[in-house]
Amino acid sequence: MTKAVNEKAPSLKTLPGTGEEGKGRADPLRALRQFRLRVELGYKFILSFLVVVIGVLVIAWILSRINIPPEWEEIATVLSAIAMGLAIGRTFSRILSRDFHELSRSAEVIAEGDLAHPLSLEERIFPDETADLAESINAMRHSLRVLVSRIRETSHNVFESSRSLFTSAQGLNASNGEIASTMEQIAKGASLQAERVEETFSLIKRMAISTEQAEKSAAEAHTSAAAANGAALKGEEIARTTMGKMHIVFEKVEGAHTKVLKFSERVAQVKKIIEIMAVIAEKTDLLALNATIEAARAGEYGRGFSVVAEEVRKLADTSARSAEQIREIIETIELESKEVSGTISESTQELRKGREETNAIIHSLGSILASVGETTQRVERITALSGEHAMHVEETVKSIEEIARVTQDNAAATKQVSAAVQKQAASVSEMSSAVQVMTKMSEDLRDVVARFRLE
Amino acid sequence: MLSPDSASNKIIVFRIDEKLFGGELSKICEVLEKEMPLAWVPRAPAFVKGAVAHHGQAILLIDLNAFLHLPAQETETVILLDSPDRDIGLCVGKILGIVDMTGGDIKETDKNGDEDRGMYVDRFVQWKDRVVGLLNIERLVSDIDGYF
Repeated sequence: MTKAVNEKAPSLKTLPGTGEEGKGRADPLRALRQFRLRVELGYKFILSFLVVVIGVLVIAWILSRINIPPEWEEIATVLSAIAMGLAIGRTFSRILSRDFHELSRSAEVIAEGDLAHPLSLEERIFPDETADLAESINAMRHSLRVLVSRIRETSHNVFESSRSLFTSAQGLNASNGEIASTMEQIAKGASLQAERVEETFSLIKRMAISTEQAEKSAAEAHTSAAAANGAALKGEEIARTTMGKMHIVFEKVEGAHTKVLKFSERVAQVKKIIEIMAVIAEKTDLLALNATIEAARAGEYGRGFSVVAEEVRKLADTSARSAEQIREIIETIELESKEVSGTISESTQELRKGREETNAIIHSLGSILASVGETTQRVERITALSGEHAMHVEETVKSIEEIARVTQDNAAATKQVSAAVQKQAASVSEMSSAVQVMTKMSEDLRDVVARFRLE
Repeated sequence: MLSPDSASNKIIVFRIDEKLFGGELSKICEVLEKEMPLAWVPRAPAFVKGAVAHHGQAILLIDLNAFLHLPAQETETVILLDSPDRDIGLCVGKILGIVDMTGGDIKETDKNGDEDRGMYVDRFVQWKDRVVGLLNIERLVSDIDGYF
């Protein structure tokens, strides 16, 4: 039931501002002073009653020894008993009421918010429940101090945190705006990219079709080049044969031309002879004419001669006519032979040209053959390359399809991110308003705890 | 020297400017070729072409076209006339032949009025469907002589 108070004393002594530790150390009667025996109030009442009873008995015993009348003895006993009882009761109640007054004052101080001054009751050798109460109040004050200081600290921290959070939220809001605009740009870029990818895809598809056609064309070109090669070879052969035949024809024509020229010479000779014959006929005619005149002038004697002369003249006339006819024929022949000669000359020239052209054709065919060979090689290379190209284009088409898919995914993801960013912005603004509320609340809290004085 | 029934019955037919003329054979001495070197005759009339030498004689060549006022033409034959005073050659076209007036080749024409004949054509005859004007050689020669 009783307990040493020193076990609990340190909790009081540790409180700041009590100053009890310093006093205790200097005191030499510390052990005696620190001796405490806890007696509860009830026992104290009982003990004081016992003291009053024992005092009455002692007074009664002392009065019985002294010779005083028994009536006085009784009165004296009762009076002493009353006096003792009053004295003890007064002392006891004064101590008790002082303690309670102290306790109630301390509670009032705490209620007013002053946590700076600790409650200190008078030190007693026999502490009772008041000491416990004081201790409890002190403990409560201490706890309140700790709580308030923590609340202050915490509210300050909360205030600071909420301020920085508010700043952060504002920054975040700004960032969100930037992110939103960036996301918008990204979304635009993504849709543009999607369009471009779509365009690229169609272009690549067209390219793929073109490549396929090119491959087909290259194969056709290869076939054509082979055909051209065969045709050129055949053409060269034919041209060489033609050349040989033309050479023969040329020789024949040249021979014919020479013959025609000789024929023309002969005809010219014949013409000259005919001209001489014509002149002879003319002269004969003239001679016959003169002979006729002479015969006429001879009269009867010249009649026979006149007949002969007339006949000669007729012959000369016939000769002249024949010569004229021959001359005409010769002229026609000459004209025709000239035409033939001209034609042959033209033919010779044409043949010469033909020979030159055939030579040119052979030369060209040689060039064509070389070109066709080269073309064939190139076409083969083109065929191989276009095959490779077609393969690459196919791969490209696949890649572009994948890119298109990824781009679409990107666009969708960008939209989602945009939505998320919008949501985040909403959250941040909510958070911002919450932070403002929190700041207000921390300010209110600070105001509330500011009522408590700790120093 | 000439027998009238032989040479006088024959005419020599020649061409001047596509027209046919005839002359009595008895008045003609010789027919010459045209190719002869010509000599110029001073103070001669315009119808004198020049002079040529033949058998040592100088022969005066008369351009009959110019004399008869016919268009000019190329001389093909020269008819040497038999005249007593001077040797005259008539430059004519082609000689077409010697025709016997007594044979059946010549027909008389009715185209013999004075206005058609002029000064030197005696009459017109038909020979081989063509009209031949018979020249009066004597008058021609005397007129030519008159210029000298």
